[in-house]
Amino acid sequence: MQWHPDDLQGFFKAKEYIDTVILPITSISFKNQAEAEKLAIQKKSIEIITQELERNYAGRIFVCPIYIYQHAVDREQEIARLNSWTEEMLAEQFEHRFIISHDILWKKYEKQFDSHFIWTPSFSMSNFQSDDARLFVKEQTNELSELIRSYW
Amino acid sequence: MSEKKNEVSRRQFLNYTLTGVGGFMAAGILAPMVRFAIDPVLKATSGSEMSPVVDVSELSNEPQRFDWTIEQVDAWYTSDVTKSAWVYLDDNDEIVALSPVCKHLGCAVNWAGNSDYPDQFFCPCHDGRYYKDGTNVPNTPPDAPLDEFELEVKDGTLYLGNPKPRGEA
Ligand code: FES
Repeated sequence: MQWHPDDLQGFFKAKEYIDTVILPITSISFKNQAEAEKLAIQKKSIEIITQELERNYAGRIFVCPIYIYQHAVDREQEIARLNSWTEEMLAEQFEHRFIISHDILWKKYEKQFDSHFIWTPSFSMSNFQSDDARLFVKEQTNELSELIRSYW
Repeated sequence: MSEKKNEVSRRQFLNYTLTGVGGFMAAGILAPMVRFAIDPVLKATSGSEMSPVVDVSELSNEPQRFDWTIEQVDAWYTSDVTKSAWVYLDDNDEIVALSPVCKHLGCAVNWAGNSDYPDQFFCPCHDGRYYKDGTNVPNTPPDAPLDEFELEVKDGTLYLGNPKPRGEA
């Protein structure tokens, strides 16, 4: 399910079945073109991957709208905010909480997340329609869903 | 009483304004809006655009999952939507195309997704199960059979349309 009015209707009817939440996070920076473009691809990529996960697990996984942070942010501060998201807001409703990101810089802070942090590679091409991209997304979602299911 | 009167006069006032000064402007504005409002309806009834999904020669008795993308138009908003189907040939070599969307809460089911039930569709979310023909296995969460796609074969290619709930047979 997603943060859509129709889905929310379904969600409030069947809350007890939807015990897993995914918070996709991605960053923005205008510092230079190369970085900006890379981050824009990452955003699109995380969007597509989490949507695909949602499509296959709509009855058990809730995918939150993407959380955006500044790329140059103080990471520890941002983690505190993210923890308050997952633990104060989402914990009551969802037993299994995952943060998914393409941003490798989080890897170092992994242990500080109160929820499960998953880093996953982004696709690098800007042509999202290509067969390569589709295959990549398929493989990614398969692996991610396997990982998530191992917590169920 | 007096309230009613007021209402009438307000409506009259609106009528006058609309047909008078604003009338011709409103017509200009309404025309495109009406078109927008009607379009999706027409689309829905003129119905099911069929999408090419797979070469019939690739099909077998074993259900296979195929994905394809359609452009979905919701009023003024167009988006690409991925669709999936489980397709196989039944005992009479007729094509069966089932929607993977679980009738419980909408997860995607997998053929032989649970090794304990190698000849059923399995829903990973809450262990819903379906027989090969799509009928839900009693005492699992789903309470209806999987939807079946409208289908059509042209020049050796399988085209699928919209998933339709199966009538209780
Ligand atoms: S969504 Fe399939 S069993 Fe619940």
